[in-house]
Amino acid sequence: MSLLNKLEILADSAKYDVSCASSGTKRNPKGRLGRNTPGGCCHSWSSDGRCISLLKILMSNICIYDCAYCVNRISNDIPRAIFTPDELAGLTVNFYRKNYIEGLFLSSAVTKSPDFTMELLLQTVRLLRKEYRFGGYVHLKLIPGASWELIKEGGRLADRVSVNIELPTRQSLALLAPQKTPDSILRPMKSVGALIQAIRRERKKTKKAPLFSPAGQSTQLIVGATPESDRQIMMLSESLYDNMNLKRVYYSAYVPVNSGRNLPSVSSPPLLREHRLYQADWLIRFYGFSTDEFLDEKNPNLNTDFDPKTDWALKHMETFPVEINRADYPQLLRIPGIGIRSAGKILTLRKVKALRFEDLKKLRIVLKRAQYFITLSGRYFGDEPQNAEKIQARLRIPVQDKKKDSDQLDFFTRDPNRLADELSAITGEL
Amino acid sequence: MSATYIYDGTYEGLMTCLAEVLKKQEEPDDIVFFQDFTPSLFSREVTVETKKRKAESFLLFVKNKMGKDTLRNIMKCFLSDVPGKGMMIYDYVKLGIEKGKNLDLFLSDERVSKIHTLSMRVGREAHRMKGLLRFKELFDGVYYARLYTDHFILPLIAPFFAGRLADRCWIIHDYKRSRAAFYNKRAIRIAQLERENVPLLSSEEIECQMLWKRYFQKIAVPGRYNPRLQRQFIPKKYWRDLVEVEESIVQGKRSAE
Ligand code: SF4
Repeated sequence: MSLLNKLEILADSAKYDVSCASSGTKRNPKGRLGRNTPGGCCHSWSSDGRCISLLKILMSNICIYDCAYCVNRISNDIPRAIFTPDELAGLTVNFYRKNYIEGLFLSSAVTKSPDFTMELLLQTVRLLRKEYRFGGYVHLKLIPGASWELIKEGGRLADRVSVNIELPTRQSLALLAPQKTPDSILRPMKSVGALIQAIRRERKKTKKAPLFSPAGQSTQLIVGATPESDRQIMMLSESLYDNMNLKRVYYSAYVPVNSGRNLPSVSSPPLLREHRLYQADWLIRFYGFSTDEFLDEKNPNLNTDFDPKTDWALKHMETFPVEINRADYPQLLRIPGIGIRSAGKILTLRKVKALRFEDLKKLRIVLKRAQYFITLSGRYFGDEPQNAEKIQARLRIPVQDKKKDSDQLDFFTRDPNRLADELSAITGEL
Repeated sequence: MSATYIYDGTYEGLMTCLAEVLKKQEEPDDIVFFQDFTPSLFSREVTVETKKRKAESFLLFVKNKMGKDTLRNIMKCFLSDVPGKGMMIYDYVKLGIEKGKNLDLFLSDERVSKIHTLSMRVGREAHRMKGLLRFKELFDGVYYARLYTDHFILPLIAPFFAGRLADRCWIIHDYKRSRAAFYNKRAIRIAQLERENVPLLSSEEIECQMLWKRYFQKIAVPGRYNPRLQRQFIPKKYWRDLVEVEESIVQGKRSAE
């Protein structure tokens, strides 16, 4: 089979994984090829509007398992292929030199056995690092069930490692991926998390300590294939951030590729829900929220009409208005429409003067939402009184824009004012 | 009569110019690169001769008085391609003499915000091109990439690529400005390079492009097709030398070139 054929098949099989972003790490290569861009870097955007940063590819799509939601499951009749480590390392280096990519995102179906597969992945990365002296970014998928020795070597060679949880609960996992046990996923995650921390501590003392997955670990959850609520999903993410030291949790709207008794029938991926989850994730990671604050037993799902911060604020009018000239950083971040950048600008300017309303405009802070939640030196500037219902009516998405699942894509494409929303769809930034 | 000051287009030139103008009491009418200069009845013209020493001591003065960030902002604005940047930088530095190290805190003052916005735009374009630049391997093994950028970002990205692709000789060609960064595995030199015909590619290059294009088509998820979003991220003006999209979208334009 030609390299081109393999590339086609194995890219096609890899495309559903979304946990694919580079974030610059300081790996100082001894060789002469490669340097990470601090903060990560997109090299292209595919026609679905997603950033291409890494060569996202499977080593092999020949699988011994039969996960219900997956294109590559053993019971599917699809073309199969497997790279040799030489082929894949060569391809990566060629693409890298042309500046198509920032590095490699390597995953695989489980071919023969977890250890066999993991060893193939390692051979590829070893070649890259040792033979090609490749200093670019490598994100390596860990194969659930592979032995700890192999996983450890993976962490030493890669910039980031990850295990995909895919399904948010034990029950769903048992239903749709019966051959993967929660234990085979969580155990390596936990050990890797502990090791990352230990090595970080050591490197604070001496820079000679070897790197171990310096960009941390991440995971992916499929949204909409199983009946979990947003609350269940966010609780899981929160505990992964808190207890397992995860750097990122990615959410992937379920794209139906198979049909099966245990699978829901959906016509298109729940993109709006995915978008809201990313926003909620952002609240947890950067704005100091905990899931309990905005999702509870009674309201276990995120509001589709408002972003989660606005939704929270409307339910907590007692904490507003916030005085822009006095609020501290965490308080500023809780104002709808004020993000990290705006809060930073406010604090900077406050060092030299008391802010007036015009100043906010000059700082180019978008006041569409924020106006209802702030005062400047005691004055309120909102064009509605401080009343949750009135404000809600003002900020609600017009009815004709409200989407059923089927035309959610439109939600992102029709209204040019939604550009900010679209861009934030990638990161969840609010 | 107040005056328009003309410099030679170099960074040192602009700095010499600023140093001299700021010493005077009267406000200048304009500070321009000689190519952009159009004579006016109402303004005296003064051509400022570039003096390296003077420029250096001025830069040092700015650095000590206002800080490194200010210096970096000035440099990025100098690389920008917008009319009136000379006066913008003048206004900024003049305010800096008054405010010192606090200069960059005055975010709502136009003299500061204009510079910040511009410097951010230049920085953003440079960052973007770190991703969107495409090297093509020529028949003689040299790597060649073309840019069509709004601003003159070569000095910002060349050192980055010297670290990234250190083991090849390469050329990054700013096609609009007929300038290029040349790298010979040791040092970078920026010099004139006229627009030439598309150079001959190596045979490996053609194969590599084919692989990449096919990969690019395969990696998109059909159920999430959203070309409008794609264009938001890569404005059309950057598509020209992008291997993965050039065939389908830009070919018509290319042959008309
Ligand atoms: S292990 Fe499951 S999810 Fe992974 S490739 Fe095989 S069938 Fe797909």
